[in-house]
Amino acid sequence: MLRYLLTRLGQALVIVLLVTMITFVILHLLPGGAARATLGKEATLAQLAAFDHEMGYDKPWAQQYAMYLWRLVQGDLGYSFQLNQSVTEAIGQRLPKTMVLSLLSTVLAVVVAVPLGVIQAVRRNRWPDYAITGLSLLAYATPIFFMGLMMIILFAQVWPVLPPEAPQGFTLAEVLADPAGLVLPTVTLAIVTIAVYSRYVRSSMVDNLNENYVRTARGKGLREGRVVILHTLRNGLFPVITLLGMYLPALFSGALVVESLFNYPGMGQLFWQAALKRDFPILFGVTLIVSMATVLGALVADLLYATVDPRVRLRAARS
Amino acid sequence: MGTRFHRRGSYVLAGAAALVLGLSACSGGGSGGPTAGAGAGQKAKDSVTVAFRTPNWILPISAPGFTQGENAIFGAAQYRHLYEYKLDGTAKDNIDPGRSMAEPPQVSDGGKTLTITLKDNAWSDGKPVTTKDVKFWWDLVTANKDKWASYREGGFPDNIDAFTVKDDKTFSLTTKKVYNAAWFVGNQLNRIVPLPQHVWDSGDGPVKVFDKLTAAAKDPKTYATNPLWQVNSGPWKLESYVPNGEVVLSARENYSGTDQPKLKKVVLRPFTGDDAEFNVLRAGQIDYGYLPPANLSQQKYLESKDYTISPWYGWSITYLQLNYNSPKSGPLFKQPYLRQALQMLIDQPTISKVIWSGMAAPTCGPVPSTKTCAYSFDPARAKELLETHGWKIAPDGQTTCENPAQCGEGIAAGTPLAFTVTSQTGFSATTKMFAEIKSQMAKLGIDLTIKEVPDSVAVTPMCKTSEAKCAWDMSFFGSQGSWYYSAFASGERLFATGAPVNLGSYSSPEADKLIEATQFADDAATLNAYNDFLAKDLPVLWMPNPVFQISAYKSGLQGVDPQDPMNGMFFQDWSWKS
Amino acid sequence: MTFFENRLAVVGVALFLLLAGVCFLGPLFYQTDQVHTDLASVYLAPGTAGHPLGTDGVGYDQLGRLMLGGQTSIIVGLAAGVLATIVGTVWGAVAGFAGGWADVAMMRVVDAMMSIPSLFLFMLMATIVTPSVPMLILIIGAFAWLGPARLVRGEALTLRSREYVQAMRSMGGTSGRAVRKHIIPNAIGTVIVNATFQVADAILYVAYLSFLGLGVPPPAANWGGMLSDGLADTFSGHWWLLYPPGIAIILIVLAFNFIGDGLRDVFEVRLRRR
Repeated sequence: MLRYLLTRLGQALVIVLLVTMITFVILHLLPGGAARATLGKEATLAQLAAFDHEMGYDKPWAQQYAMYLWRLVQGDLGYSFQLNQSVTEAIGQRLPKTMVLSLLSTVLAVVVAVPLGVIQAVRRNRWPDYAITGLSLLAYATPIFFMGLMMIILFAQVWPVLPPEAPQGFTLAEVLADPAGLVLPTVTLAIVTIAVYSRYVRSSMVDNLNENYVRTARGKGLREGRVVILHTLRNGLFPVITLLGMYLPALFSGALVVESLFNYPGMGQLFWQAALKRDFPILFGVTLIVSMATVLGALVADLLYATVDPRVRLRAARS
Repeated sequence: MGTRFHRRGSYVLAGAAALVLGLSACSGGGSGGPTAGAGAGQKAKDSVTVAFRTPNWILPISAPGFTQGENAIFGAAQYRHLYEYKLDGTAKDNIDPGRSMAEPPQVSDGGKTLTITLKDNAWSDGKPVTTKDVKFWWDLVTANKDKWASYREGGFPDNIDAFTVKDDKTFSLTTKKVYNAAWFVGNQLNRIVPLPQHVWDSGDGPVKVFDKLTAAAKDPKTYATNPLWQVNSGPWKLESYVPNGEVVLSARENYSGTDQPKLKKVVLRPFTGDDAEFNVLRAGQIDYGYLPPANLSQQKYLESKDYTISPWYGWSITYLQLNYNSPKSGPLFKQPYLRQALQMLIDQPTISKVIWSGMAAPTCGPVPSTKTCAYSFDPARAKELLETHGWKIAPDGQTTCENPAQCGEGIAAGTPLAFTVTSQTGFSATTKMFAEIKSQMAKLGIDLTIKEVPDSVAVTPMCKTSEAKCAWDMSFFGSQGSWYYSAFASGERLFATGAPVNLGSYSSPEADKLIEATQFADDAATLNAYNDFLAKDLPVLWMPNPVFQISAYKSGLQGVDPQDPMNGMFFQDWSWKS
Repeated sequence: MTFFENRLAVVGVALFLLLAGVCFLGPLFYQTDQVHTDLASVYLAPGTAGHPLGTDGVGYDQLGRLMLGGQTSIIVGLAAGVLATIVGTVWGAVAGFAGGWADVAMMRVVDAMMSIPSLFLFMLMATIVTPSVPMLILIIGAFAWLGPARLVRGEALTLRSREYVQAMRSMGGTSGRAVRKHIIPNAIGTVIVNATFQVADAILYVAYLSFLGLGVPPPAANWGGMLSDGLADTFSGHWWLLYPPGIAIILIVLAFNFIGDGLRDVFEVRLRRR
């Protein structure tokens, strides 16, 4: 187990390093550079040069990258000129909001998707299965911003029970003090997730229903319902843990859109504004934090999975 | 004051909430939320809540990158400018006598020396405002001119021979050349801001002091607490400040100016985007906000909710930059007949009316007040112009040069009329505007490719023909990228040969002469001559000029209008109707 | 079960044929001017003479625009899906079959790119390049290959260990030949099914990019761009600019998902996706 843990940790580190490299390369392909974008068309050449010098953009790529990594190791993500704020501070203001949104919608998705998937597996190829399949495909096929809009129209206009906007509070406490405002964004983000999860649970359950030990259990005369609950559910749900980890990037992508739609000042909005204004330090910082969260999520999921299911450890050790 | 790349959220986003709002208007606005309107009218209000982006620069010497409008207003509320201006034509050289901290300058020495006498004013700690405070400002910008956003080569402080302090109240500036007083007063003296020398000057010399001040300004969380920022000359002092959040200004009780604040408190609330702002405006929770152009159809609804809708016209022009140094298109743009033909294909009045819902007006020349355009929308005349100059028109095809002798210098036979315009992403009005212009040009076989990028300024730099980055043809700086002038609307920064913001490298000896005259000849007619020439010569293509903002404020709020065309906001004039 | 016994799959094929037919053949019968704007007739309501679905904010006929936009959406979707599948298949097959350090290195790259949320990556890319149809295909293709790469590698690993590949090697066959002759053909079922889903996803990605303001500039159009423009317009009651493109996107994405599901049953491949 320890060896497995160390291997996975090592892999995670390599991945994060690669992410910094990829982001770095992409950002340096940007034509025009950050100085002009930040200082505007009135800036003099001397001012542009001074900006590039202050931000280190006048150095060779390799050196910039090395400097970035060195500061990163010291926990310094840099300074956003455009916000006049350190990147750590800017992210610190917004990360908790994105986390609240992601967490709430994940919990909601799991709570809804697991029973749906189980029903589908048990009633496989009968009408409940078809109905749920159809609905989840429909949910999956709807662009999330269109879905959000429909939610707003339905629940804030036609039947006005919820605010059409996420909480606008500046602090986490203010956000949480307005739970009604969180409903629509959370549900919007959760719906697509539910579609993905339920289909996954279904196929995992179907596989397990076919496995030998279930047949054996049936052979012993246990009632079908108990078989399902006792054996299949346990084994069928292990992979969902992995899915939670794997699905994180898609969740953040969804959050980016949902934040824009519902005016929720989270990481997605921060990233978007930065992309429009070429705020490199913010782009770096957000990409890094988000992908670290993803890698970490996947790691935790894998470790959990390995803990509950020894077969995984064996397989991992072999490959 | 310069330009703004002031992107208030994005229209892409605006749509979503906008839709919502539209529908709820139909359903009677029944949706929940703590609907206010509560604030206004109940008991005598002495505060006002304003939709306002969080300023992020407090030092009244603006640094490059921090020149946004919100910073200018935030700065001026706490640190008065030496001179304030009004463009209503009532005052000499547009100086606003009430708001300025000094008497209008006395010109002597054949126009080279301006002597300025300060009025009696005091800092918030009771110390008088003296020439020391002006000299302190002067020393700081002189020693650190490259870190000062308003520095232009040849402008302040380069054009000054001597800054002389006569006594506590009087100082004089001696210029190296004789300037047009109107230009000098409007475009140079406007930069002076007396600074609290007795608090800020630690005696380490202007470079070190400036570095210390800059460092403090780069720490916004301490704005409301750092003792440096507690001594003000303006009518307002900073009560609280949250980075990217709410900012509260409170009236200074011992303010020494004549424009005493009438309200006790101004709350500046930022919004993540247009739709968020508008939603709150609809709910009546802010006293002063703005109506996003996409939501213009909600004007009636807001008016029924007791808001006054007031377009804020800017002292500005909007144009499409042409790149005269582009290896491919430069020779084409250098032909006046071609520029005229292109201009005749831009239907400014209709675009203003249909696409901007009337919240824009045609630009006709470099001086904002120009009312009649030299070239109106006239596709037939444009076609004729091209044909008589040797072009073979292929409607909806590709027009090419048939007779190079007529087409002009550097244009070979078979040269196509094909241009790429670099425009800005995310503004639906801009996108529609170029769809329209492209369509008009296509009818004459001119192929316009629209390239939308998040930041058009960054990719269309001033350049030499030989440089790779010079491949761009036309550039539009976005709907909020209009050029905002200082009080004197001269073009030395836009259209003079080699001028800093002459991104397309337009060069005309005639224009240079006229621009110089506006700066150095003391004659009001020079500005007209300059305007008439450039309006016809088309250094750029004139485009519809949108209003700076469509303001919406509670009808009980007085003193908001007239709104300053130079984008200032004077909260001290505001009050509630009792 | 064969493909055509799967009712949803049949529905999917029919939907796709219908939508593609309307978009590509429709303009032959229903001709509109999608090049020239007409500021004199903006926001005409559906049913106005000559405009069964009304006009948009610069006077384009909305029905004709839907056809034009559909062409872009379908072309970008198909091309990007196919491109992603090809790149992913080659990458995954090489990694899986080569094994060892090459495999580790190649798969870590995939992991790293996968850990950056795709929309974040797309936004970065789209700020670099100017959106146009070929560019959209390249951008989406360049990042959507990660899923297929993982799948194919998994397939390749399984197949590699199978006896006949080993047998081939022992008989002196080269690695390259084994990949060509056996691994790729065996993985083909997985690849085809996955490609179908890739197309569906690519169409959605285009919609997201347009929503973020990074779609194709006028007079070109795509359903995603029309939908996000519609968000702003509908506010003023112009519902015909919002719902038609929205529904069109849902239908085409559904169609590809149905087809993919049907194909999966035919090939009997198990995908980890969903």
